[in-house]
Amino acid sequence: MTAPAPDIKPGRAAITAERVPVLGFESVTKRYRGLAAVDDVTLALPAGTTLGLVGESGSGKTTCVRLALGLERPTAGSLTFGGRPYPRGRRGLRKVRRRIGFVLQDPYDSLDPRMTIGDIVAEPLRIHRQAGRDTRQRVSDVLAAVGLPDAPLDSYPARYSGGGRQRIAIARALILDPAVLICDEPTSSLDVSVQAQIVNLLLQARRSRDLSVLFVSHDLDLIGRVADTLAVMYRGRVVETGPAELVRRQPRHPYTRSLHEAVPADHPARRRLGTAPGITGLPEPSGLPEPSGLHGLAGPPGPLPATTGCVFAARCPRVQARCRAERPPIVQEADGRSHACFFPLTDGLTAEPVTLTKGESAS
Amino acid sequence: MTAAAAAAQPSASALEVTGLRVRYGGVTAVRGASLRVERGEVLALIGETGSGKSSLALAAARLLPPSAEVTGQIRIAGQDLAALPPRELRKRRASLVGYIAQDAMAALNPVQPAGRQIGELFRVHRAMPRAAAAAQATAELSRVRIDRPGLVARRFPHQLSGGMRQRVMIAMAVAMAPPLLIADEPTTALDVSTQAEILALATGLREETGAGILWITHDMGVVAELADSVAVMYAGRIVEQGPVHGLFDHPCHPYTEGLLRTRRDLRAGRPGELLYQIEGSPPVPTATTGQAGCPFAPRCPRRTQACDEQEPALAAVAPGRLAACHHASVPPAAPGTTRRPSGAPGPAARHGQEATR
Repeated sequence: MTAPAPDIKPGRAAITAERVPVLGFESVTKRYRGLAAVDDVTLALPAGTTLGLVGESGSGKTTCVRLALGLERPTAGSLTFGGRPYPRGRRGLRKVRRRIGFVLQDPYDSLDPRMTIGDIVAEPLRIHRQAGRDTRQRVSDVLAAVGLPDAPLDSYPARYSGGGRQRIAIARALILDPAVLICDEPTSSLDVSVQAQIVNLLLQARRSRDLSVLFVSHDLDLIGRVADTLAVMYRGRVVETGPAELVRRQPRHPYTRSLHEAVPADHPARRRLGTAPGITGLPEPSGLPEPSGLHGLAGPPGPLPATTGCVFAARCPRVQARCRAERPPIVQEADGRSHACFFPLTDGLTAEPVTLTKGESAS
Repeated sequence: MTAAAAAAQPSASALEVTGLRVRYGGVTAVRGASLRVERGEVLALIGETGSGKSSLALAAARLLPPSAEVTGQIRIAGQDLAALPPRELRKRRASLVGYIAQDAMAALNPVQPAGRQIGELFRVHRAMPRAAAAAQATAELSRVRIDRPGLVARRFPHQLSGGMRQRVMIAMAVAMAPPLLIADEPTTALDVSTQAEILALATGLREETGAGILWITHDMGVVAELADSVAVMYAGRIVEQGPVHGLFDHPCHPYTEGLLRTRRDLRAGRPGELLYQIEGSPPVPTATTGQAGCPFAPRCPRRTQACDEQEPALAAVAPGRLAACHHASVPPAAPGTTRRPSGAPGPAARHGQEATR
């Protein structure tokens, strides 16, 4: 148990807007049956950096991942890879996909139990017709790189623990030497004592392979450690973006702040959630029909039918009449951050805790 | 045993587990665990995959299948569940222990509205007529802070959000006012904001009902928010136990220390810095776990030859503090560092004898 020395410069977090993003979302909207799962989202992943996507279930994070992987096409807007729009044809799209590796949440789900480790890791090579005489060597090399140097290629996933399986998934993601790595909650199904190993492996791979990473998580502490830039999503919209440290320490959007306050304490002397029900943290809509009556009891806050106002208005403690009437535009600030709020917080986390209105819920 | 003798004793601890062993075939999942949960107290049981925490919880509620071999003593409010014949157990379990599972979707009946499921408890156990049970179910839903309970009572589980389902399950667990609640990672699958609400609810219910709560989790943040005392399990045994403040201030076992440091470092560190990590993975329980020394030794920074030779026993390290480690670090003997809820005796006072034997 040694604490590895810090070895990545924090200065990396500086956003260079001039650089062409390796992956870009330009006013992307994705509707399912008329409901926008992703609503007018603009994101940029500059080469060599990590973009963290934070939000709760139903916020549209996973739809963004599916769009970036080319598994879904946007209803409106466009995605770019290396500055060029995603190709329309299958063949073109395949070329983009070849440059994107992905690691999903649950390695018990994402690895076929009937395939050998060697076949799982080599699968991308076969799909992209790059398998050859050196396949075995490439598989062994990448397995060694993820900390499984002795893994027999003819073994099956069942032999491995959660951490081991996630290493195999990472090996598969890296074997085509991608430019972009997409990680969708890569540690949330792992044992606590194993999570840090996997995060460190991803941090090291990013550095040694010069990867650009889209990292999706609901864990604000974790994402603050891995991301250079954060984008906070709520109900399909990006409500705040900026350098990770700024967004973590001085959130502008009331939703970002409430996410902070819902994170459990690190010591019983600082506990804050259990004392007064509903004071801190974000009360979930308690299951009453939304104004539209469409997305009531089923599921967490998900896509909303088209509304005029701010998506967070119904639960926001700072809500004013204007928030319900108009959609707040995205405001760019000088320090590289932006937010979509008419009444942004200016004092970060230092002021009184935000007391969110209970919305439809009661105590 | 007569009904009177079998009755729960109002003064006894909510849960008392002594020398519990749980075996499935050749594998021993729990290898001798003892703990006690007082009324109104939250004991957090921490552990990872294969630590035996869920087996312990299921055994305590006597919810394990007959194929599981359970030995040791389990008393809920003084009542020995093993002494009850199966029919009697079914009749009385709901008023002895409320069980809150991680996956509410799987635990609830998918083809019955939420209100019916709660109402059924009152119909079966309290012989309430249908209408009265339905009204009671609605009342129980508002008790778990559901805003429009009448509406939620008519919904099927799949029509409810994850947080709402969890509340319905909590309502069912507390409906018969049992002295003990067992919660098996009830917030693990929830968003942080929903988790915050459930933790607040649990804190409120603990005060309202006076029940003892055994709360199983792998998340030190949840422990910090909720627990009065903590038991840490590893490879089928309790390796550290103590009051929550003392344990967070000064963990005795290197595994506990590693878990605490992992989370603290995650929050305190700078972007891009590598995280503090514990090497290796939690062991898979086998027939020989513990026979080749301390199961944590392969991952342990304090490992010596002694660790490979003999598995350390759980022993008192300081007042109120137990650890199973040949190299347990001793907390400073400053009074006040180990706060505990008023009236509750320290775990060492309660378990000293059992633990060291």
